[in-house]
Amino acid sequence: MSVVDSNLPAQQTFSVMRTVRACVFLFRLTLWRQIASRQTLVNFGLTTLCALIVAAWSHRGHRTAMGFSDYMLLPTFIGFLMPIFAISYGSSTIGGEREDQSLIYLLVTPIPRAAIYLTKAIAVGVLVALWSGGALTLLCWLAGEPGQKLLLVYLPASLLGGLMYASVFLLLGAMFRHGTILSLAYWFFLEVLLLQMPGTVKRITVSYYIHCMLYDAGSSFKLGPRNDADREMFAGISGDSAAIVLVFSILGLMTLGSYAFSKREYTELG
Amino acid sequence: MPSTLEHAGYRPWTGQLRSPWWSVLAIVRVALSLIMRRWLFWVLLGLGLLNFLYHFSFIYLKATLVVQNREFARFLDGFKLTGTGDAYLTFMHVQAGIAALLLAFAGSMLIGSDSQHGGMIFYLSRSMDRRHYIIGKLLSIAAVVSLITTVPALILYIEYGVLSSSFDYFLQNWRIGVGIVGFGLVLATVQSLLLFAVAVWVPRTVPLAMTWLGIFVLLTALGRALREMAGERRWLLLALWEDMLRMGHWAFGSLPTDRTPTGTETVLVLLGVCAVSLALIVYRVRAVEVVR
Repeated sequence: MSVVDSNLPAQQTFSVMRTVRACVFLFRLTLWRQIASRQTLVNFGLTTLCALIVAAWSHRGHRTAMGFSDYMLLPTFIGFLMPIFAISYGSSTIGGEREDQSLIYLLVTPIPRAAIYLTKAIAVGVLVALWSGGALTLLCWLAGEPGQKLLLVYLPASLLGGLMYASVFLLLGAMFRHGTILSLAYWFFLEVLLLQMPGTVKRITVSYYIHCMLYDAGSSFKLGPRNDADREMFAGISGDSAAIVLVFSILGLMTLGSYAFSKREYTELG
Repeated sequence: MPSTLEHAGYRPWTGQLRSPWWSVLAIVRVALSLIMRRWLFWVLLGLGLLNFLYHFSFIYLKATLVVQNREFARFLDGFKLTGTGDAYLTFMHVQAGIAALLLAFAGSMLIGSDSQHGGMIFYLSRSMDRRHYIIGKLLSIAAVVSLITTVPALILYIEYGVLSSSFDYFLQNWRIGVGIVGFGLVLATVQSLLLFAVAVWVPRTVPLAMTWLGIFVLLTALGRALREMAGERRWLLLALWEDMLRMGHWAFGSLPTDRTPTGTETVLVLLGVCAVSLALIVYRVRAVEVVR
């Protein structure tokens, strides 16, 4: 007994190291499975379509950074492509495993459930950040000078926004069987509806904070609501505050997600 | 029948055999019951009907004001929320956007899961052809689309008619009724064929939803950008969402004849989309999966 006691710290270290190594393996596996999925193909297709749209826009005679932001980046990238990247990897990481009935094999491993969730969240975060950053860079490069001016304005908001969306959709995928559809309902319906409402109700949407960061960073390019009425309707906060809200929300959602994933009983897995 | 099978409880069907076309109704019934069992369907339907409730209340308010204050009622007509065909057209167009969300869910449940989990092989092993299966599934999707677009619009039309002082409204505005049904048919036909084609090729929920929404959102943006670039309005035909709206204007009789793209061009594009979708569906729906 005394022999076991004296070896206990070493055993604990060994166990922690094994868990870390298992998490690294799970991270690589998640990353690979997501990259080799149909979502990646669809993402390529949608990004190509967006690139064509921007290429067509870049042939216009009069091009400004403000115009590129208002008519191209806000509706196609911020309004569509970035949330789609987040849904494609966020919802399907745990939701896809549930759909394939392969989640049970993950749950029977000795890796703590919270660690599984966090590992998957990091893998999804990496993928969404890479896709968002890559697609934004491509679109800005295709747009020429206006795009190059806006790249650094959009990059932080896009990365934080993408991660925030991914955290929300990952949580929905872990908590609900039809997490993808709920994610779509949230993004496609509730976000659009709430963002157009007056008052502070829009502060529960992700896109509100993304827009605040963009308008603050792009003030030199006159990004943002055009007139006083629109400004009052939007009721924006500073870019720094929006970034802080997003960072803490991401951390909070990851904590909530790992707790929910630890406690959830996936009865449909048999 | 050998006696051993009889003892086991097996017996031949002694009733009258009916045409396999009846199986279409059974497929629709099963599909609708399958989708209506999910709480998510009711949540999405509830979200979709928020707009209907808004219009329903507004029409009631308008009908009350017509009796009490005719001037104010005429002012409300400016919002095109009552009486005129445009109000119903706009209502159905907004509802069609919500229906697209509902269809992403319906597509993965009704078509995607059949492809993924072998449901299609089960259906096609029965005494029915693949055309019965295809039509049954198309009708199921069309029913979901109609449930959120055509049926609420018809209810609003009837509501406005019965809240007026006589039934003259229906006689004077019969074209609106025809327009609602016509636009509903366009929405149901195009969306069901397109969704089936996407779902049968991309059966998993996430890629299906991405592709489905991408077709509507990005093709619209691409059409507008190309129109700006080339100065040619025919590029707008790429926007399937707006093509359907144009057909809606045609059904309501409010499509301008001197504007490009014309109604004929729009019909041709939508017929082409439907034909390609049908070809993709027929190619993919097979009783036996061919593997190399």
